[in-house]
Amino acid sequence: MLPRDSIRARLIGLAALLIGVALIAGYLVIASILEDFITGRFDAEAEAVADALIAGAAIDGDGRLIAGPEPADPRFQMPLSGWFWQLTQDGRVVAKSSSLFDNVLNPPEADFQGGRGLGPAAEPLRVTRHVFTLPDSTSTLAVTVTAPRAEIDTAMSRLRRPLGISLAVLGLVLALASLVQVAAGLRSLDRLGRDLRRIRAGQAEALPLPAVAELRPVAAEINALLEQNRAVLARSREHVGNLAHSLKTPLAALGNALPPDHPGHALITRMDRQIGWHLRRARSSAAPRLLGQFTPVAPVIGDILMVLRSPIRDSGLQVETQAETAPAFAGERQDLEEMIGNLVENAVKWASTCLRISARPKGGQLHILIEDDGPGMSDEDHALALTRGARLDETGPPGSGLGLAIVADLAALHGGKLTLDSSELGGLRAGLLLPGIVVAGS
Amino acid sequence: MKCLIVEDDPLLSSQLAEAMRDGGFASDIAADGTKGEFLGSTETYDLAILDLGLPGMPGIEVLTRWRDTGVTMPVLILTARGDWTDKVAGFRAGADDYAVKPFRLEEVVLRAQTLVRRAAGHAQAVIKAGPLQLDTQLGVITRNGLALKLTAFETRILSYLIHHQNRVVSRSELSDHLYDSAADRDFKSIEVVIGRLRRKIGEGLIETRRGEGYVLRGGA
Repeated sequence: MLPRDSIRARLIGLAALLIGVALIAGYLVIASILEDFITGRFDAEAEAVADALIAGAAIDGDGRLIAGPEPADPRFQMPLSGWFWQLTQDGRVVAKSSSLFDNVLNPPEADFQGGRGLGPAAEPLRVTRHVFTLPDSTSTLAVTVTAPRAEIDTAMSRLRRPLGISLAVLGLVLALASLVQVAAGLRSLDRLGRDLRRIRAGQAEALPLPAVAELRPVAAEINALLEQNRAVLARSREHVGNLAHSLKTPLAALGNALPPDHPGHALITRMDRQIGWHLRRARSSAAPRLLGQFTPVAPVIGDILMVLRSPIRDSGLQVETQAETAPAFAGERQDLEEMIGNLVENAVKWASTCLRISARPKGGQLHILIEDDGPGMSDEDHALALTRGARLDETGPPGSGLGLAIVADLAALHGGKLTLDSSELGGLRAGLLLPGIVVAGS
Repeated sequence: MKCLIVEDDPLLSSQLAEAMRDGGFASDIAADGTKGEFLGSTETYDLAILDLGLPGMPGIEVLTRWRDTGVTMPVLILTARGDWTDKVAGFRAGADDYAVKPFRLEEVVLRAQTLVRRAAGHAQAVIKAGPLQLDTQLGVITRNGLALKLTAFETRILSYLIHHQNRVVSRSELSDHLYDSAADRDFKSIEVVIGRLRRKIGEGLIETRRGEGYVLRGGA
């Protein structure tokens, strides 16, 4: 059942209404034309009889009307057949058809208006009446010829049925045609909707150009909007990057200019963290709202391991990765890099011989596990690590727990979460549960 | 050893140059990307320290151009943003290591030394050449366990020869890696210093190949 406010329901309803109105009007018009036609045929017959009667009429020496020969049509002899004729002189019946039997057609003059009248048995009649004069007379002569209305009605009803049926069939065909038309017309809208859903789901970055001309401007506008969205984000990121550069470079110079035991170093660390925190905040808060983003996991893990290859080689670590079955991350590459990067860097720092990185689907989401065989943490420390560094004014040695807080923050921004527990390898196991997408063809 | 520092902040770049000199490097400084790219692709360096946020030409592009034109020196990138996207982009473009601003100078110097040592094919921090041992992190050269008393210039020449032991190092190659671009290059003084080194470390370790250069015999 279609909802009342759907375009499809409205179009189909409107089409049905218009088709219905047109067909009813058509039926009425055609029926009335047919009725006129049939009535015309009866009138023509009556007219011919009347003409014959007028032609046969004559006036005798006393000024009385003498009727001519009776019309040959046998219907005028059949008693009360409804086919009657009658000649009057100054309102007095002079001659009449034998079908009238002993009755006369003597209705008030008004009753014959519009060709309608009633017969002796009060049956409706179609009446043709002419008033005329003859050359040698001053009296008013009138001829009245009638036909039974019942016969006209029978002829009409024989026509009405097939007319009604054929118009109903026509209406059905038109309704079906409009259904097909609406479906065909809306298919491109449906496709547009599907394409938009793909973008929202992160499976496409832009709308394909629709095949119908009317939707092309719509798709172009949507694409422009997406592009603008991306451009604004890219620009603000560039600003953020420039700001970071312009603040941190002098900060680095300042730190290097201070003697090693100067208390200013603590301030510099604090400023650095505050800048970092705010920049990350500014960058990330917009990101999850950006449509059409997805990031395959395996290449990101590969990139992170490339960046960390020196420390991994230097500590002789074995790295085991498994990400073939993982769905893509429904978000931006930068954010995934930041989360995996911090966690893997942490694992590399603590691992003694090996670390394991795995990504797999879990209940429609993406589950990434990063484990090491280092010393690990106690359960209290697991909880503490997630909250540490969230406070901006904290001044510990760089890197202590801060990375984990950043990851927890980012994961939460994406509606996911970071969990910490113990790995079967013996060290820390960091788990990231993030929104995932199975991307077709990947 | 000679290094190129591409960094637009004059204070930071001079701090870096000073720290690198203490770590055994002569340094050229480029204050923008365009000049840095030009120097890196025309001069010979053992290492480049490249800031990613540069005026003129972005650091990533400088690095990409170097790698495209076959410049293979190790490159240490400096990033201000410190996010992984920057690091990944840098490594993709061909960086070998990174330091996040604000950094400690000693850390950068240490990383630079490690990069140069690795680039010469030495995995360990201490490189042996016969009776000689170079501790790349301390910049100290010992002979049979005893520290040699060497001037900064002598240390530079000898550590280059130890890095590239058992192969002929020409005098022009040596001068390329010893002097910064502003200094007058002087083959004569190299010969003098080599002579002094021979006396300090013992005859027979540094051979002279006529018309080719010098070879440090490091044994097998």
